[in-house]
Amino acid sequence: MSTDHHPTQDELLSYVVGNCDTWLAALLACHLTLCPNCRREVQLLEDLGGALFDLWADELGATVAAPSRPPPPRPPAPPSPAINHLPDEITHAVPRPLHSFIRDPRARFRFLLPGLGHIPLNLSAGGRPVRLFRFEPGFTIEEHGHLGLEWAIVLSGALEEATTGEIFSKGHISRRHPSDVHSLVTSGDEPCVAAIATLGALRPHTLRGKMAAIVIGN
Amino acid sequence: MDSSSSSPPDPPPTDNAARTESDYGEIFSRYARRVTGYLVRKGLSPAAAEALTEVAMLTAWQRFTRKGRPPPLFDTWIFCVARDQRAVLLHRTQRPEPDPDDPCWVADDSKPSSAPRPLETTHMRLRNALDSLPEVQRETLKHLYFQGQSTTAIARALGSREDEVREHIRDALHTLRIRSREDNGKP
Repeated sequence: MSTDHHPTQDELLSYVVGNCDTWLAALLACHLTLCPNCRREVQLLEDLGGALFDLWADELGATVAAPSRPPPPRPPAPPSPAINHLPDEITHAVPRPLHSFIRDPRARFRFLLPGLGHIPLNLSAGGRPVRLFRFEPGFTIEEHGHLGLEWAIVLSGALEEATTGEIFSKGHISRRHPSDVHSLVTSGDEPCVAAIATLGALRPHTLRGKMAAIVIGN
Repeated sequence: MDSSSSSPPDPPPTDNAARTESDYGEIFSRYARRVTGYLVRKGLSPAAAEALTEVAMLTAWQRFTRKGRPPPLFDTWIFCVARDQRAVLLHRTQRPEPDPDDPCWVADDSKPSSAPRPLETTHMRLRNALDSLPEVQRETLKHLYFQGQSTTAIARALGSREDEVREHIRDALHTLRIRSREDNGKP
């Protein structure tokens, strides 16, 4: 896996110190579900937080009186019913960190175009909804640019950059900046499921792409 | 920094006796002040930080008693609880976490390069590695973790360029990564 397909150091640090936006934290947690290497890195960063905490956190400490007795133990919280009732199609392709952002517990990929389905998530990035997309084998995302960052993670299957041949497989992250123009095609014989956040509208470069963007609502 | 913060922390109580009131008091007195300090550095007022400290300690205690054993690195755990409680206070969703029981979970098949080390050793190694970092790198990490500042804000606070701040972070993490994997006293 190329390093470009992983979170950046800034992204992982912001996840660890709790400063990143919810949409990014959720998508990074999906990547961590799928990438043991990055999990090890996050563990190191959290251990570092603990060591720093131990070294420095009491420099500005105030006096806090200990209560006279410990609080009673709390029984374990029941699991969320929404997580338990999601269809297998979702639970086996979409990591759990995204489940709580799926509004409908009986959600399924809704038809957008032939070969393309989606599930909107209860998450927004820059005021725009984050969505799960399912691309059927052979589906082509027409050449397009962006008016803001596009941050995508492949959750199952694979996508291929049509011009460079770069493959994004399970767990890989794709970041496209406003100046980037690209086109993607589903790679292999399996459908590809990806979570995509677009912080600006797409700028399709083809007539077909423009028509698709109207239907998709981008 | 007071003298207690530079010495290695005693491991938290591990047996059933830990659930007694005196042990709770011990854990509270050891960590509450640090949690408050951490939250003040993260921008909360002292009053809000104290209130949130109580919530964080309550959460930590309830998880502690539910599991019946302390987490591997207690400092790391307390740090994570305090960070998450702050996020909740700020009306942000608690940080989504990967779940090892997830059907999508990809297990770590890599073999460790050496026998597993005691977790206290890992903690001490990180502490020692932190001490060995150049002052500017330690100061950068402090701003990053304790004030939650972006690289832009850190650059402004330290009067340096943003790429220099990134470089300090990268170099510090590189050193810590190497030092945390070293064996005791041996490279």
